[in-house]
Amino acid sequence: MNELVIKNLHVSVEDKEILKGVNLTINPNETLALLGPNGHGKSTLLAAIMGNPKYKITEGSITLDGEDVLSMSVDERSRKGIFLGMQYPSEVPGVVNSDFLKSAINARREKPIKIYEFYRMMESASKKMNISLDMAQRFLNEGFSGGEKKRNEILQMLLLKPDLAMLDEIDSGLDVDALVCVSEAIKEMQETTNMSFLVISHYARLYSLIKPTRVAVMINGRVVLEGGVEIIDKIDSQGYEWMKYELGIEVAKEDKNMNQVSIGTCATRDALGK
Amino acid sequence: MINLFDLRKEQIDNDTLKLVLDKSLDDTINFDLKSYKEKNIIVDLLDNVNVTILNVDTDKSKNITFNLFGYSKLTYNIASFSKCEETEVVVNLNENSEFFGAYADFSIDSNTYKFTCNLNGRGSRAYWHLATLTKNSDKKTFDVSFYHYEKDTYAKMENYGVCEEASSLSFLGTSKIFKGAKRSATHQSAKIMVFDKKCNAKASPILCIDENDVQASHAAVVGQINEDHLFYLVSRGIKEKDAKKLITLGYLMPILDHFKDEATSEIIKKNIEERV
Repeated sequence: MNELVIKNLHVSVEDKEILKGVNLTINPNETLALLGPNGHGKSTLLAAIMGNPKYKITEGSITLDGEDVLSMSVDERSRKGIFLGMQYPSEVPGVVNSDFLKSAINARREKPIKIYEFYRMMESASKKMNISLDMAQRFLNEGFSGGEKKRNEILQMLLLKPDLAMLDEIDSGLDVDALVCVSEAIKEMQETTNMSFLVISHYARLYSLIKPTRVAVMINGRVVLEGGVEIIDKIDSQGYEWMKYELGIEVAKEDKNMNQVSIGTCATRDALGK
Repeated sequence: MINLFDLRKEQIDNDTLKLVLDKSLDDTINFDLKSYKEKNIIVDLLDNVNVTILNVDTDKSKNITFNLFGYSKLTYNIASFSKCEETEVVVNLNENSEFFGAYADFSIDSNTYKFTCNLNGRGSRAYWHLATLTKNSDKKTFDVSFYHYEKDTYAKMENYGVCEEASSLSFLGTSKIFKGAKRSATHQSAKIMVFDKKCNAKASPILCIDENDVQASHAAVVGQINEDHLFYLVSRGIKEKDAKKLITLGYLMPILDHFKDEATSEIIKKNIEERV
């Protein structure tokens, strides 16, 4: 991958505009840390790049090495090298983890992978992620702990070898050992491949382990600041309030709609409007 | 494989034949209904008998009754691939007996299947797992009932269906706990995945509880493939068509875990893969 370029991206969810003109470029072989308060559009940006149908692109463009990403189906985007490590990976009952992984690997090959080769790949990736090989025989993410799900996301990244890995709060739900395990896997990919990373995290701990090369901050649905890793330390120690005084950026509070129901009324009837 | 027809028989009347199982068998018993001319078949499992009975492609309308006596255990595996007519099965469970029923229905054409399990004996337990696929304009109904008459009885029903094209699929589930059946538990879940607008799918779970000291639950889901599941799979590069197939297979394949005969499991697996 040479570069992923996002220009003036506007994205809505259920008719509510979340992204209001995002401009961002992810260069080859870089690790970009994406920070911002909750509810300001970081996860929306990653989901939109991956092509989640719940997120509607109303304006703007995304190109990968000059190719229009928005005209590609989700599976095409993945095969072009884009990977999304999800914040809340779906539990898919009945679908066996190894069948799923085999299908994902085979989707990138002309001839299906041989069982022995697949086993060797699984063995190596499972060892790196400190996951029991037995997990391959369980249903996809079903009954996995929060940490197991996140490790399974990184295991998929290791197997699929994308050009751009977007990791959405991959450190949430991880204990200290698992965090080290995940960051080691990311570091190995950084050192041995030309992969780029776009990483969302609220904690400096992960960033201190994977050492981003650049930082972008997203506020109110836009990228408002780009710079070096010193921004992470500043946000870690001071939060986002300083942006108001130093940059004149007012940070909108997270929108939490309350149900308009009073005590003493029939909540169901009110909700139905009858 | 042993044929049930070769075991001890008692002719009750012209329409009714009784088969008696008086010892446990490791091998699966083949229950070939085509071998019987009688409409009513009664199978008795005497005390402590533990057997597995396999019924593949029932193609005649029959009424089958299993009577499980004290501490006996029956694993009843049913597989339908061709035309399947109306069948009614009744299971009567006595003290501490156990019934494990699994039905893989990939038959073509319409049919009604009625299954009733009477938990008459204290400590008796029953499990039921169904996987079915409807296509074309087939109309299928599965009417499954558990009646808890005694204390400490347990029943679990799981019905899974995939409904395609202009077919109709109906799951009727009734769980009834009678007065006095204290500490009994009954659980049922019905899930139907619909693929086309012309499909007609219905899941009707009914719980009738006449006792306080019990556990009871039901779940019923009728809907299309979960969008989040589909997105997760395609986001890994799997084409949408293949992802849908993977999810559908995952919906039906778990039935294989309940089949003891490997050859039959292979046929079911092949059938599911070809038909999905």
